[in-house]
Amino acid sequence: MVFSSHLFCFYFLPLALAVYYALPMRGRNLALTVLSYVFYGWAHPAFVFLMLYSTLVDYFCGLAIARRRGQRTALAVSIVTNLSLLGFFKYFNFGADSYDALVEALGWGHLGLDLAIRVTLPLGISFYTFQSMSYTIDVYRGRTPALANPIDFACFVAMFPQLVAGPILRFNEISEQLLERRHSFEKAARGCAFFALGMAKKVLLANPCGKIADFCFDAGSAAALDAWYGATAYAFQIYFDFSGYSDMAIGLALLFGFALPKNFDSPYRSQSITEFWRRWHMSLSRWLRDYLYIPLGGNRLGTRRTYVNLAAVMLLGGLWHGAAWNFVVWGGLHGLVLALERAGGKEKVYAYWPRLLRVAWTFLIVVLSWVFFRSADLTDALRYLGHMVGQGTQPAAGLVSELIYRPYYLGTFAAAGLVVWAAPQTWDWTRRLTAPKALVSVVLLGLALLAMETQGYNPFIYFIF
Amino acid sequence: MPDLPESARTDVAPLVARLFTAACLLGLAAVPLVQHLAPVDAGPFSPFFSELTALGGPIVEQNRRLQAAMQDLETALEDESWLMERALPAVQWLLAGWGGAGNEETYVGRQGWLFYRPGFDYLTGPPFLSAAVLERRRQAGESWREPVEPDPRGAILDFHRQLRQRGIPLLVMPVPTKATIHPEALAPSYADRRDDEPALQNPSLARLRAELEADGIRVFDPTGTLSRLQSSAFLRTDSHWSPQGVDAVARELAGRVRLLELPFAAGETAWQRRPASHEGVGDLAKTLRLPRWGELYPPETVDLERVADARGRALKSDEDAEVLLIGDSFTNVYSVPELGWGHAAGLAEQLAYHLSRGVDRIAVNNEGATGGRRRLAAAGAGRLDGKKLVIWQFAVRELVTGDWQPVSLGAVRE
Repeated sequence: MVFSSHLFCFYFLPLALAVYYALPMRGRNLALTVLSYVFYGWAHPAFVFLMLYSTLVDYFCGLAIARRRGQRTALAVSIVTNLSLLGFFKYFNFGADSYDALVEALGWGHLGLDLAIRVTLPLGISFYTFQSMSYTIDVYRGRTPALANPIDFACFVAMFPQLVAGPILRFNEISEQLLERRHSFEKAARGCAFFALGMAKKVLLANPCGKIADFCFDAGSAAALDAWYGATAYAFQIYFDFSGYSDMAIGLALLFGFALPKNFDSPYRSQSITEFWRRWHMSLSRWLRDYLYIPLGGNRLGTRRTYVNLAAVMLLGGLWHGAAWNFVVWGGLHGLVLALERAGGKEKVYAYWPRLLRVAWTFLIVVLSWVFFRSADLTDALRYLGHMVGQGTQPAAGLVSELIYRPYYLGTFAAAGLVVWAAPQTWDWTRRLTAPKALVSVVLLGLALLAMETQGYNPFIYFIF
Repeated sequence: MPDLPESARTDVAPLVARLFTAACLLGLAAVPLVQHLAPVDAGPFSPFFSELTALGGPIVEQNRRLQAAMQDLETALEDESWLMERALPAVQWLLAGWGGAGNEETYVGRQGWLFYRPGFDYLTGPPFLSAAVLERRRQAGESWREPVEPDPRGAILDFHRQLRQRGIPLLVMPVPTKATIHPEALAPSYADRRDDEPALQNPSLARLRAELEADGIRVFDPTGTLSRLQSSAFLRTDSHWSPQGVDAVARELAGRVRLLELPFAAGETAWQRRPASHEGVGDLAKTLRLPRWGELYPPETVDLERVADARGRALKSDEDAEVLLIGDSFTNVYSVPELGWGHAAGLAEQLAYHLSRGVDRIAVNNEGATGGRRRLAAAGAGRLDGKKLVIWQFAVRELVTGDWQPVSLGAVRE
């Protein structure tokens, strides 16, 4: 089930809200947990047991840590369990395929695994395992008390607004709201506004830009201009898809009384890659900083070690996004630029550049790196980059050129660019909700719902992570 | 209260907050309420709840059935939605008429032409026989369905082998996609293509043909025949070829069959053809579901040549005929009335006319890859008795979308 679907908007959400508010306060966390398990199970019923297992392990580990009984062991159990689940379900196929490719390349094909079984990736496993792990780590560090009530903890892990694609919540960001939170029309109104704008971003901007990207990336070849257009359209698609989802998640959470933190801060307005990672998927960046970069030593162990830590974080961050070498390359590229900016000193590197050039240069790096993100594999990414410099254009490429510049697609692409660089953020725009803004939100929601009815199944990109 | 993220605080007038929230949430709730107010029965929920109560057996199987039931419920809710029924035509009219965009299945061409998406994807996509593409197709698809077999070679070779055991030669005929023959109707940049320029094709088609012919399978690619037609070889708003296209291909195909000098037992029969007109709405135009008030793609009129016997009775498929044609909707169009383009004037009939002998036909719409062979197998071992030739027609788009499963025809009858 996805937020931008007929079933969710018209059936699940109204029913969920009705059930939630029909119950007294003390039953609402349980209701939200059950509803969240139904939401999660809709994609793959059997995997609710997996999430339940991860939740129970971390709940009991948290209790053990809080009661100072084998704290290190409990922490280790939590981390090993979560990483094992993530490692197996997400990276088993990648590992097996990579091993087979390696032995084949070395002429040892007889040692290949050649497995018939493929492991299915559970929806949102990258998100809820990270989120759940952060709980036990923070309890261990003494930053937060353990939760005594298993329902409250299950609610934290499974809460459907942010379950399958974030924001990745730190437990202390929501712990007190689990126990006590206020429900008001003020919150609900802002929630509706977030939801409406998020839907509009997803359905009216991300999906059409995604269609342009699909035309270009799925084609056997594309003209150079088309390839650039497709790559830029993908940059718009992934941004509006993910930030739109985050907006919807924040909006839905507000409808249930929860206030979630910001996840995007106009990342394409960044003037350096360093700044980009402070504005893009902020919850993941924070998680990687606090649970990986700083424990590895951060920038406290000398220059060389700092670069190693940066590279490790970005490579692992890339791998987190997908079990394929093109994601590793994507992460590696960002890590390289981050290191170069750090080495040169951001102020020195871009000191004499006008702001517009810095933004354009950063966006160019981001667009080129997204090619690795979007492509099916490394070979495909290199092929596409070749198209961007005019290589390998086939005769049928003209058919693609004809369709992608149609008014609907070109118009949406232009609108997307306008919103990226000129429109206010959802966060700022909804801070003060006037009647005209409310009306605009209703209109955008209506348009998005109408467009949704005409589009096919349109999952969120980050659902696959 | 704890120090909350900024999202918890909003500057909004209480009345605006209430009205806005009510408008959004009641608006969402209104859709299912209107949908389900009147009917007494559970509508699309009934099969879903039946499936829930019937669950049993291994957990993996239960999981698959539940996933399939959930998918079916979601599809049914969307398809039967009154909002979709009212909103879709108008939105589609805007997209097609003003935006130049079609929908998930249909792309808008120039001057009233429409193109089927799978055909476009076949033409513009990567080589369909590349290992990476084949592997991606195998791994794609819903987890509760059996994985597809994307590689056509195994199925075609297996069919050829089984026919050869019965002494029957196979002739494969992949029908080109509309954009191969009429690229200028989609993109004006192709209007100045020279006649000697090779037709647009997926890079793997030539390789497939070479491999099949190396294994002794005859291949007839009608691309050249269709390209040389003076009139349109395809209908404007339909995914299928025109009656003129069918006739030209049938004539060429009959010539190829005669060259094989097959030992036909039956003598030739002279059929007659009678002209007839038929008006129909293209299948691609139908997929757009445009409103009646915004007709962008009016019905087309086609000139058919209905094939009949000496008594004027429309020619039908003859199970005793020595030539068997297995195909998909390209075989069925103009043959079976259900496709909306008349009858007795399709590929089988025109082939019979040009061959001067009856033709047996097995054709399953949208299942050129495997459906026809499955139906042949289901008909029993006797269906191939007396056959001297099997012609297997499929749309080339099946090479990128089809599920090419081997099908056993059973033991060879002595």
